Amino acid sequence: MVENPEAGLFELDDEHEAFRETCHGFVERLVMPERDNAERNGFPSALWRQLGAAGLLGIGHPEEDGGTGGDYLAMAILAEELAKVSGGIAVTILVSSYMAAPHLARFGSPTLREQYLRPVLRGEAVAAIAVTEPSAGSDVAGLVTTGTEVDGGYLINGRKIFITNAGVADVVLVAARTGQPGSAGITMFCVESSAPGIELSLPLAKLGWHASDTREVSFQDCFVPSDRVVGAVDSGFRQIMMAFQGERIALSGMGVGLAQAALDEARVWARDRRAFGVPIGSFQAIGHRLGEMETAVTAARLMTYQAASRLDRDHPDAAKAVAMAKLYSARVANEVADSAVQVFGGYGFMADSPVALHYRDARILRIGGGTDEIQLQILAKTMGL
Amino acid sequence: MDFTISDEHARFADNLRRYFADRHPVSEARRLFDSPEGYERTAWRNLADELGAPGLAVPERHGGSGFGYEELAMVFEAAGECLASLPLLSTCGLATPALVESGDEPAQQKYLPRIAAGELVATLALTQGASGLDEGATEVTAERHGERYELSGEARFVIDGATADLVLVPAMTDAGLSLFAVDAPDETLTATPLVTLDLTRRQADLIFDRTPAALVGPAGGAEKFLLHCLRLAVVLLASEQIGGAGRVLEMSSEYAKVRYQFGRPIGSFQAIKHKCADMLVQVETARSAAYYARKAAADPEELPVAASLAKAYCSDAYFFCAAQNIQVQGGIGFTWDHDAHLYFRRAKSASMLLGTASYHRLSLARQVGM
Repeated sequence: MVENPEAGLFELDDEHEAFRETCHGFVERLVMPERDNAERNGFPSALWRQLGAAGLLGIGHPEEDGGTGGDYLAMAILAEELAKVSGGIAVTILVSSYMAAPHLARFGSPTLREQYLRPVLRGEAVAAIAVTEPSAGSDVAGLVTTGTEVDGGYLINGRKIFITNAGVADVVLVAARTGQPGSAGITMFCVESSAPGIELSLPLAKLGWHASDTREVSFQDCFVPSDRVVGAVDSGFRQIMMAFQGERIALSGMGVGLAQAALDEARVWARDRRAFGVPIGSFQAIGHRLGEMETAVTAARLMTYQAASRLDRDHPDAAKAVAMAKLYSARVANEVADSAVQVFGGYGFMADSPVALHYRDARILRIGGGTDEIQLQILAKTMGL
Repeated sequence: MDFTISDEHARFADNLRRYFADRHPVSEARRLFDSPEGYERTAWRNLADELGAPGLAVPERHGGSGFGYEELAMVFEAAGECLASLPLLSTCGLATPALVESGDEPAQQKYLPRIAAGELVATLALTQGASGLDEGATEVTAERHGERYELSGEARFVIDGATADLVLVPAMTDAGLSLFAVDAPDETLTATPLVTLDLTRRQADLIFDRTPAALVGPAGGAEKFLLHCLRLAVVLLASEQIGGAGRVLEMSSEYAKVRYQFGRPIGSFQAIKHKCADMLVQVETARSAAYYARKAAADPEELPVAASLAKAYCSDAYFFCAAQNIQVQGGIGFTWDHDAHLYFRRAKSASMLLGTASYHRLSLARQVGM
């Protein structure tokens, strides 16, 4: 977003506009052709190095670690463009580079950054983050996986659930309790997925995000050396909360992209599909609905860009803007995807229809990265309630 | 429970509709905006003489016709349809059930025959806006002096509070919540009429300053019967809401057929016809809830759920339809001379009276143990 209001009337500046073109070109050329295959067989692993080579895995990461510059706004744009293809593909990429890797980039030691962050940003390794537990979803401070200090390191014991990328990750950022109950006793660990004591479930079957690998991860006396602690011991909660801001921007961008793609499909369909002798888009019930969709997508995009820009500038209301953008974009994605299916009629209900894919993928956006209710709770808090 | 509408009830509803359309067209409500009372005593008495409406839920031994709340609810529906300016909710919806349910025979003998005859306007001075009989709903206390009591404190937003001849007041005593009768006017009772959104139903703030009052019903424990009364009032108000909601839908569909734009009736545009269809869905679901509640009024087991269900649905439906109606009418619907805004005002004020839709949903949640 522009720094000087006179410069661009709430439009993207040239640099970000050019970046969108880059993302769009990459996605059309290399990601879109993989969509159907990925929905059936999972994320195409060849894409990782291509993403890395294009610099799309290193946005906002330090250049000395292999990052490629850019900011949260650029990352939101990438999320938007990826989600136009498939939520499952988008989230796989975004989790590795922009939800898990930031823990290493911000809080990891030079050794950890060299050993794990650099390969992730090049697309030579994949990262996952394991915070959620069967009994601790939104309530991160309630997690019960333990990290018990032993000679030379920690033994991790517990179960993590809904872990995106678990089956494809080389490195997992794990939150475990090392101290007192509550938010003050949590530590982040960098764990190799091949470490003894880690057990993965089979991939969990999901309503949507079919191209994404999601599993339960169990730890049984999994030894992690002391030098794999990420950040300070017992300060993991704060680190997680900080990383959530970027995660929510990514999800918010995904909501915008998904909604835009569903809208684009619906618009073309409304123009080409004829019923009662005329294109269905000439009926007000359809034409006006598309008008509503367009308005909602534009509003969600503006909110997302503003939130990302505020985060980039450490604006005092950044957290508030992020919560609003995440809440709103997720809702818009659901409403617009639903409308798109309605516009398509019976064809939209077929599994292979692109709007059916977006409809499946939309629902998780109101849950992952903090549910609607959590965003509202944050907002209530910022309003002094 | 039998949901069929008997021929007798259908005829009664038909008569009511005709009566109210004839005697209380909306133009009457407009005429009464500027009157000090907001309604006319003669019209109230006529309603008693010609329809016996105020006495429908009054037992026969007290001069009523001994029907029930189901029939009274039909009167509310017809009155709501034309925004009749009458002290119906205050006298029949709140005060009559309070007197009947108090079980206080002398008080009933004293007041109910005059209510049934249309000679007495009565109200219940419960602060509106408080959701019901929750803790703190009354800020009036009663002090005993021999057989008499004196009330002090304030009740806000009392319906027809400035014009009622009888003000029934829930007040705290040493024995707990009790109901009292105050004959108005009284020099120790200050009534301040309020300027409210709804021009067709008056409210007032009442301040009691050692106001003489007579106990009605038992000393203490009044919440037991008052809660039941409020639920009956809610059922009646929901009926009034459904009358209004049905009317605004009618206004919209009538206008959509005769208003031409772009060479066609606007009702032929999907943007308008679908809006009307959405209103119909709202009205019919709300009507089902309201009619169920009407039937359930005679069944203390079902009433709590049915009343809250009806109020939650009818409040939302009426407000939705009243707002949509303005949209359908377009520019003319936004003018003072058009009736749309009067219904919009009534819809809003009725949605807030006797507990909002949210309050009643919460109440339903509580009733299922949440």
